[in-house]
Amino acid sequence: MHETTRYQSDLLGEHYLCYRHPSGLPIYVFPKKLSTAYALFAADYGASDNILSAEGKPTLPSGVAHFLEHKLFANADGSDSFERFSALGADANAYTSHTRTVYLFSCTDRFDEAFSELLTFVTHPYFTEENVARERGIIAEEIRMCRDNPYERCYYNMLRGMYHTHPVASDVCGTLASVARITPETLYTAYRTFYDLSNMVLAVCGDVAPETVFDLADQLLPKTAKNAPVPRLSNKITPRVYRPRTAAKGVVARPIFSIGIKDTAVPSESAARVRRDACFSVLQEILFGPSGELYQSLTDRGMIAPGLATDYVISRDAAFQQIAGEADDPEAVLGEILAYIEKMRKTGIPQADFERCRRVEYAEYIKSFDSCEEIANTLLSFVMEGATLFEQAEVIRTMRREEVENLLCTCYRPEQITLSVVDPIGKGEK
Amino acid sequence: MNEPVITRFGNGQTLLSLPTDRFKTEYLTVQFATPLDDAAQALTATLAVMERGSTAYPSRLLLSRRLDELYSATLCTCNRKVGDMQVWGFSLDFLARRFTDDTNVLDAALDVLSGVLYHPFAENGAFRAEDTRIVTRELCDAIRAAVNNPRAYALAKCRKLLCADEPYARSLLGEEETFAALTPKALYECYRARVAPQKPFFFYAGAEEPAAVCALLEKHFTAIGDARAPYRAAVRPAGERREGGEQLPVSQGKLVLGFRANVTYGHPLDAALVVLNEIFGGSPASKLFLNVREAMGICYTCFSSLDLYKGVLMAQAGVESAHRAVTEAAMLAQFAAVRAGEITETELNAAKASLAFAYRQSEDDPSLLADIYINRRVAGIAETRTAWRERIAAVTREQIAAVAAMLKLGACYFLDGTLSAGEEEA
Repeated sequence: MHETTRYQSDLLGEHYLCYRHPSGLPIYVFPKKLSTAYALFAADYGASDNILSAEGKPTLPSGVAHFLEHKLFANADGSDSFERFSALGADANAYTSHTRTVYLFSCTDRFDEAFSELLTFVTHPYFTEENVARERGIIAEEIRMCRDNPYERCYYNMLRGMYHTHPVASDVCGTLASVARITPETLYTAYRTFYDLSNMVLAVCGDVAPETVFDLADQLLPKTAKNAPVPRLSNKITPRVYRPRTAAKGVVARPIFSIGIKDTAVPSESAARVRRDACFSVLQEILFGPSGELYQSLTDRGMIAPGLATDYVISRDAAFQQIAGEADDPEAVLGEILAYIEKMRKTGIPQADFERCRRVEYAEYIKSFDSCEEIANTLLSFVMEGATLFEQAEVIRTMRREEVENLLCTCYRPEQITLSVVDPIGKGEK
Repeated sequence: MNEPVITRFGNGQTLLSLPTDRFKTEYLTVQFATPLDDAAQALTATLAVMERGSTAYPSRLLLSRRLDELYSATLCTCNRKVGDMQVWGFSLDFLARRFTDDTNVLDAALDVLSGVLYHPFAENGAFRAEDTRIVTRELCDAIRAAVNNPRAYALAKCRKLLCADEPYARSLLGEEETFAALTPKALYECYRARVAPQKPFFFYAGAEEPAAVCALLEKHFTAIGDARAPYRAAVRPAGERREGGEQLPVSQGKLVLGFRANVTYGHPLDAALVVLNEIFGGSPASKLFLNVREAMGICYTCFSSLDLYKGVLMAQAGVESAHRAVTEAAMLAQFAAVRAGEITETELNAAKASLAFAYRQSEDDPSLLADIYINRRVAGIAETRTAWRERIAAVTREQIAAVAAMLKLGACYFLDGTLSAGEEEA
């Protein structure tokens, strides 16, 4: 039996275990009796980690983390782990964000074999001139595809509006020019720097025996790790946005917009961060949710298309709110939003609205425990933030209206806000 | 998971249910099937108006707030094609009672749903002008916004080319030009003619006993119609290859190849067609993924998808416009290999394993299961999913080659990206 820490939620009737592998790698298992099991192997390394030493030099070309994610599936015997997963009937994938790279699979059978494959390929890099050159072409097409996605373009312009050239706003895929500079040696350097087991996390959710997971990790992973400090960004985030407006043109029927609101008062302690995250969710539901007056008014007057998307992103490097949608006049929509916030600041948030939205938050929290994929991903996010998965329930239960009002009064200052718009390209325009 | 329990109630109604306490969220849907025809657009608009309020909750705001009170219950519209039918209705998901203050959310949510379906807000034989105006504007915007997603846009264009002059080519949103005819009175007429008289398909997944759910359905659905349109799906082989395309100022072109065969669910080679699609382009172990994307390194997306209710298979790739010809040749070469029976044991086994995975994965998604079971009933398929799974597992290479011989390329659409390299980086 392995020595584990157990986390229990009586509300949900769920629990998960954490085992610390001798290398320092934390391994989380959330037993769940569904048909699909889901496993994630993550490196605390993303697109914004572009320095190789604490001094900040040298730097990596943008897009290296994502390129690595693509190429790690290649094996020294010429096989591809995607094919191996397919042969097992497992569905493998991977993704890169600004702060992490995640390799994953889901399966309904032969978990042990698929899990072994995950552990093996992530810990055995194999890059050659030939396979890297071929991947450049594939990634170039991914970059083009993303560039043609107006929503993604609008999002990145919003990030740059907030953070300018800071790595937290860099393109995850890189650019055609930066990808052309990536070589096998670049990938090995990045791998050696960031893919240390002490800088990684494993998370599994499904109808699996935790001891099996821990045993396989013991058998297949190195027992030791470098445990060297990982170089992190040192350039600070400024409280003001870089520029308040960014405009671009693209193939869209009507303008799409993305409002970014910088949050620079982020607490360092994980419990306080979880609380802030939950409070923002409730605040956004009150201000911009489909049961709110503002949303109804904007849609009924045709100022926005149905489906205003809101989010609060909190990561190790940055935190911000996003409000995105489609509108003929995004500037006017921003004006309406700010006027509504001002009105709410004066009148205060009605207790009934707060309670209704807190109930929505509670229900959404419970609902999120119906999917192994969602559980595993959320678990990963929480533990990489230094938090535990079940503490959110207590936060929602004890949340007070005053906390949410405090965010309302302090977090929408003009210098924190940027508006990114992609306008329709005119006929004959490029 | 077992096949759904079938419970009969009321005046000839049927509930399909999956009694389970595996989920914290429960799911119930009420769906109907009508022919995909000239009224499809009006029906889509009518559903959108109905979602804006009932006599009990006469505005979207009040309706939305009522659902919030019911622990964030979600009311969604369903609207899709199955063969040449339009399958539509509403679904609810809501917290299981054990996570509430013992509120019977199912009872309360059914009250909301039945109000939306059978007591829509109407005055003097017409929906509210304001609701109609908002809905038609939003649907018009949605039609125009299709271009925002070049991949889906190109796919729809190719489908239209492949099945020209058939109902299947029709968009459920319709065309911009015909929105003028959608008046408050016309939509209410559509409601009375198309919605109210239909006999529903009910599906429920959750912890309540089927008999208890039926009792609640009887309580709330007192005005159920009994009309049921016969299933139809025009099935035909592809004709001569049709070409289509247009230019857009985007970086990446989209190549879509449309194939069809007169093979749909119920045909002796239906399972073989499903396995064929998987081998051709349905997974990361497929020929398109390995031999076009991975080996050639000129595209990021290259895959195929199948609509077995229509016998239509679409293969698509996102490529630089300069690589269009070579990509098309490579995709067709992979199809020719399938047709020639050049399928390895590894490919065949991986395809079957992938389909077995998808089958079992669907057990974790009640809304997906509901659509699968309802689609099958709409199309009159009596075979159990277990039997279907066994037939998939038994498909042979010869059967795949046989169905490949029936599959023919009928349309090729290319969305030509006109942005040059310099402009891309700008």
